[in-house]
Amino acid sequence: MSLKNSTQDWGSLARFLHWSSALLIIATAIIGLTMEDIDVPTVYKLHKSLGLTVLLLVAARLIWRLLDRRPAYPASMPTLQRWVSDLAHLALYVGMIALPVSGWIMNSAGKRPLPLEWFGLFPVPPISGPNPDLRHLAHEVHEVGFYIAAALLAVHVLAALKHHFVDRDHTLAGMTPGVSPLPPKE
Amino acid sequence: MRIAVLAPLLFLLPVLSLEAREWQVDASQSTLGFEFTYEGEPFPGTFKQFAPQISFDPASASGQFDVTIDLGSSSTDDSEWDSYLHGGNFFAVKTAPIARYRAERFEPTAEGYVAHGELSLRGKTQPVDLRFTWAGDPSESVLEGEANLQRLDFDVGGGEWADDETIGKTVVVRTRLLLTPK
Repeated sequence: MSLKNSTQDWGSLARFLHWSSALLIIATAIIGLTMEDIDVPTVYKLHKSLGLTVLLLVAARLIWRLLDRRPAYPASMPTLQRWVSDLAHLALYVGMIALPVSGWIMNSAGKRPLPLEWFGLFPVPPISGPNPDLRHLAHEVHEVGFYIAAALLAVHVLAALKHHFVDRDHTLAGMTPGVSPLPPKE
Repeated sequence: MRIAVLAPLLFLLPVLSLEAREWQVDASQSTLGFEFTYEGEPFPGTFKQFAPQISFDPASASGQFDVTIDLGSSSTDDSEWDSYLHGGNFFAVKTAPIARYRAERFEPTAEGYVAHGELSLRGKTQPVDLRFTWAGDPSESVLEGEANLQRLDFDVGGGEWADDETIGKTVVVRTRLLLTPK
């Protein structure tokens, strides 16, 4: 498989960025939902390091998206569905940026900030000064944004499965190693 | 005749008055808090669970305090900071979940009283003076007290927090107890 995308398939770099983000996002979400109960500083640190990594991957994806072409939608896909799909993907990107950034602000704007480090390897600077109102806003965005993004993610997964099993087109196969489109229904 | 029977009992009265009264603490109206400093600014927190056993006679400044404190109930209204408080560098809740303050020696002062007690925390026991006032009447009294601790005497805030660059070495503990006689 080539590094770059073809008209039909996502290339290996796009696939790597997509699936590594997916894995990290799910891990970050599970840790984020449970870390208050686990009540251990290292778990909070892990959540933050993973979230910052997602942000890094999103930046890489956006750059790669500008540089490389996107595989075409299946010819059979109705125009309205293409618009909805474009909009949903835009919203997913907004979520992948808004969640880590709001988390980073929460860490920066607190009255008593805790040091932020990427996996303990190097310090990550704050992106704002102490500001209780901003922190409160960031907290809201982080929490409400999470549930919206989780719903979007569910739609994303269900849509991919619908393309694969109902429409039997190339959408899921174009992104997933080892998956080929199903034969058309009799 | 009657007086003659009661007379021996009169000798008991001074003994009874020396025995300090036992008080019931109204938990919903009582607080136990602490205040660190973070970069010089106050950093307050509370213990949501603590059990004071108080007997005290304000007139003779005598009695006994025995307070157990559930360290896992410490809270600063910031769940991440609480994870540090509960963790190994601070209260080490997993290894020693309870702190205990006991005092039997009391002294009147210009402002009120001072209890010369001992605090056991994280396996260390150190003398701690609690300055307090006692107000009210025999039916309902209020104890308001304050103690200064050196957190490093109890190894609280070790590791990266051991110097006082971020978190000051002195911690103020404050309590207010609403008491009714048992």
